[in-house]
Amino acid sequence: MNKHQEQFLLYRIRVLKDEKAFAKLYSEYYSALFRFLTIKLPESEVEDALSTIFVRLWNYITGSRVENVSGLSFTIARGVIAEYYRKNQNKMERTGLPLQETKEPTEKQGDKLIVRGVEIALVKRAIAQLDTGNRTAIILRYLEDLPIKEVARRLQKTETATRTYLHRAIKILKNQIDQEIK
Amino acid sequence: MEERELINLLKREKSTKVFGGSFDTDMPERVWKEVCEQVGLSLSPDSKSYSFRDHLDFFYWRVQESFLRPVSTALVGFALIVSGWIFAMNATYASMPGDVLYSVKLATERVQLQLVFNNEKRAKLQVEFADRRLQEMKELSRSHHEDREALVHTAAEKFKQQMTSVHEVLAEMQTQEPESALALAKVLDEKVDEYTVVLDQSETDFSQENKQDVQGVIAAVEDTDQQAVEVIVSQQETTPKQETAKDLEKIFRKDVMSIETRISASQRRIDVVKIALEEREDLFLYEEDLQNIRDRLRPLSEQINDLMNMFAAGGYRKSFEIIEEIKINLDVVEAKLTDLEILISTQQLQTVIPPVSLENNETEEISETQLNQDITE
Repeated sequence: MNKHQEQFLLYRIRVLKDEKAFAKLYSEYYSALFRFLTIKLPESEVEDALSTIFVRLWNYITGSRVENVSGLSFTIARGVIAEYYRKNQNKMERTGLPLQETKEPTEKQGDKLIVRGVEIALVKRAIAQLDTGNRTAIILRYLEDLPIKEVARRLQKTETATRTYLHRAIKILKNQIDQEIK
Repeated sequence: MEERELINLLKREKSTKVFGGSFDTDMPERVWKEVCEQVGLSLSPDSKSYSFRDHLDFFYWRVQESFLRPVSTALVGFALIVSGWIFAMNATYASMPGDVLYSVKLATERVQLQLVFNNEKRAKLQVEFADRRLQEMKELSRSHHEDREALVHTAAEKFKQQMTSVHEVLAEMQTQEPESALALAKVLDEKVDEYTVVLDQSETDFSQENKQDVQGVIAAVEDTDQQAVEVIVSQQETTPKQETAKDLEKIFRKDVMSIETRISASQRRIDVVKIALEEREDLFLYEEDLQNIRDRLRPLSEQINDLMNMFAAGGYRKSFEIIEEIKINLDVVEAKLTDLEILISTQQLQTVIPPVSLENNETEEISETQLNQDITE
């Protein structure tokens, strides 16, 4: 979706309360938001959080002028995550991550699977500890596999600035992982 | 793990559930159904594509929003200036996001930008407008406006847009007008110091919901600083001048002082956290975390000595790259310390409990021991 298409949909939602336009925005953004929430919330909370985000997004778009849906939706997502933690402080692990429904490796699983599982868990933990901008950039580019142009549009940066930003984000993530391993 | 390996891992494992992939295929519909029920939308909206008329309506609306309205508000602003209504213009200048005259203020700024044809002057104007956005954020955060958080977010987004425009102009000038780019970079570097002071001073005024907006603004300011330094270093490498070398030395010393201050502050915070944990007899639970933080902090002080030698030998680019790496590590240290401090303070709040009212209207205070037992269970 390019900027013009998004502005068209935002106009339809704000001025005409167009449900079809909102459904198109939903289909465009739900996947990245789902990943963003999965990294920070327990699995059982993610769907509720996602629906909360879109309810608030509808209320916001129909009430005010919005320039960038991606930025706004991630801002709302951060607020939803923060609300969850405020209500559930005593369930937080020391590192600030929610208690995960972890699956212990079984004897039947090969060593490689166990190593892969540990590696993935480590990377997820490190991503969760990044600041929101870096986390969003990594999710959009490497997990959602969006082209640089689209990532730049959603982050409201130029393509050059986005490449620099991503390079820095990966560097920070790598440092984070190296520290976790130590 | 190398960076390339990390990127490959992310791309390879993007479909795993851990990263939010491979979700149940009914999930999107379930969530959409929930949203529709809460907001009152129909589950299956009309599936016809939009007509030419729909797009024409949008185009007409855009013309109104992008041209007719700003021009008419700019004309109103111009008429106010010409008629000498200074009070009205002061009100416009002082208006905040959410105020009636705020659109006039923005329209006036747009008109000012359109009337400037010199890149350097336009960039400096953008910098001034970014300053206004920052002041607006600061004022709004202290106000009791109903939609304060959303308005601070709006001002923060506009600040970042202004910074993006400045980046683009500076990048263009670096190739076409290097001397002007150098002059602008120096102005930007000083401006970044002012922005940092404003953000530091008003840090406690921002609500929790706006903390991330502030982080975004800080990141935009740091990006601008990095770009400005890059321009000055490049210019010195291409056309070495004593004046530019002095400017670089000034920036370098400022950065080193800032890093040293942050390192000292982090060390003090570690000591305070350790004392707090010792008092609570919880130190053994967090010993490893504290050690990790110390291990990350220790080499940074040593790096500063190497840095100063490198800079003195003329290794400007590498010196500033190392400064960036040190800042990244300090960001991580400070974030980890904040997490620990929040954890300690929230657990302390949980030990302060009100009396609980029972069936027979008797009250009973739950002991701290019992509460801690409940929490660990």
